[in-house]
Amino acid sequence: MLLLNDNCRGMKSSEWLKNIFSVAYYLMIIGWILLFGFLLYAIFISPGDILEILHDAEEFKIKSKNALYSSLTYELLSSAVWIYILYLFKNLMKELISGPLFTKLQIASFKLIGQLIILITIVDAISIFVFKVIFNGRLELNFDLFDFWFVIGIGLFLIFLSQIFNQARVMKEENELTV
Amino acid sequence: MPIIINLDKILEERGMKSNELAEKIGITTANLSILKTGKAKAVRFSTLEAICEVLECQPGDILEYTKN
Repeated sequence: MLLLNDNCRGMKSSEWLKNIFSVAYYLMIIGWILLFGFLLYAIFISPGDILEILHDAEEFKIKSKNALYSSLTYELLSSAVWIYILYLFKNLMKELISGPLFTKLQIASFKLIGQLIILITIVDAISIFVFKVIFNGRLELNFDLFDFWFVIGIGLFLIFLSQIFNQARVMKEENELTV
Repeated sequence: MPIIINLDKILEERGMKSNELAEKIGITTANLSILKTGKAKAVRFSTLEAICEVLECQPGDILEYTKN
């Protein structure tokens, strides 16, 4: 009975997680479309309006058209990678819930997601540094605990998880081939 | 793999079919096939004991070591 309850609770949490990833995925797509709209509006209609809105951006002050175009283009590319990461997560969760565990696809997905998270976080930090140097004339490197190290930690944990899954796959195979 | 399974030979000597053995020792024919074809990674003592009991043989009659 206790085991059954634990299983039910486990299923519920995984379903919740899957739903959270799905919602985040679709919200990110909407955000990406809005961002793309901003860029198109800035290029073809009026960059001034968008400059007004994004003037006090979090990372650095956007004062010129060039800064606006570059930052919007970078944000579009960066968001596209995050959308892809969420897409991989969404598919991975679906596979973990419905399919057999410890498959090669799950191992590869965990590894790829971890690598992408680390890569995009490092590229993010570098690009903010470069943008600040070019557009604000400031040399400033920022490695926030939550914005940088925590996300890098999550990426590393996912890579570690893929290694655990890989070992589990070998053990599962051995178990299946034990007569 | 340097461990060879001589189950086919013993079965032929005893005039017994694979599915009959599988049924008597309580494993699936698929698992017995894994054992016969040398794909198995491990054999449980309980399985080995059951095979030896049914075929009236020693573990050494079934398992053989050869150098690669």
